[in-house]
Amino acid sequence: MEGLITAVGVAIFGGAASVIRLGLSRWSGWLPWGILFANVSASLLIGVELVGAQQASPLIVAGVCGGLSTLSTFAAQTVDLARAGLWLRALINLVANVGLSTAAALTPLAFGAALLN
Amino acid sequence: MKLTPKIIWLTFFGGALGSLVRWLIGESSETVFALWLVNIAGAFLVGVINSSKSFQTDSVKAFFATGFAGGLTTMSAVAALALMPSFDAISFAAMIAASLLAYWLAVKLTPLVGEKWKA
Repeated sequence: MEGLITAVGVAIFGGAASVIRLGLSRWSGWLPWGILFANVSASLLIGVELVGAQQASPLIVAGVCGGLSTLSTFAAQTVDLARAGLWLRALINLVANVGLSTAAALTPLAFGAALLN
Repeated sequence: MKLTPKIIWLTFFGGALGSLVRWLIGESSETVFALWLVNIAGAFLVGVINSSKSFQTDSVKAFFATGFAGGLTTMSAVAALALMPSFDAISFAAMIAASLLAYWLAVKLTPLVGEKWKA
């Protein structure tokens, strides 16, 4: 029963976060800024939850973070930029999404280390 | 894509389903394997949708691409791999590359399949 409730929660939170991502995706210019923002903020949140929480909530991790972030849209946008000959933009989009998301997920560790020192 | 209530609901349900499938796969298999699976599958799916003549409506894109594939795939969990002591940068880079490749392959292959169907 608890598993079922979690499953429904993940679905609802994931769906809601996907709608937020849909809205954000309209923010686009030289780079797909909205998707970049979605990925980085979701990664920051997952880092905070995994590092900071006593017990990481699947509703946050799998639901919100998983629904808000996307690898498929990011992959499509990156490859499409390259296919259009916009290689520098494709590379920057790749490095920005992957690099900033990873840095965001690691931020709580750095913050914790600073607090301890 | 115009954000009509229909498009928003389709995105919600697609995203809900994709997130649920991702969570179920994550619960029943090892984390890194699960991420490889969902991210490559999701990227491939978006490639098919983007390049298929049959799937060009906003409704289809909202449910299957933005919704389902967007919910199925995740960047945050991939980024969080860096928190794990077992983090392997090469495997991490390979997963990203494989997802990009999956999209590219789908874009290349889908029109060919469409042609075969007609012949």
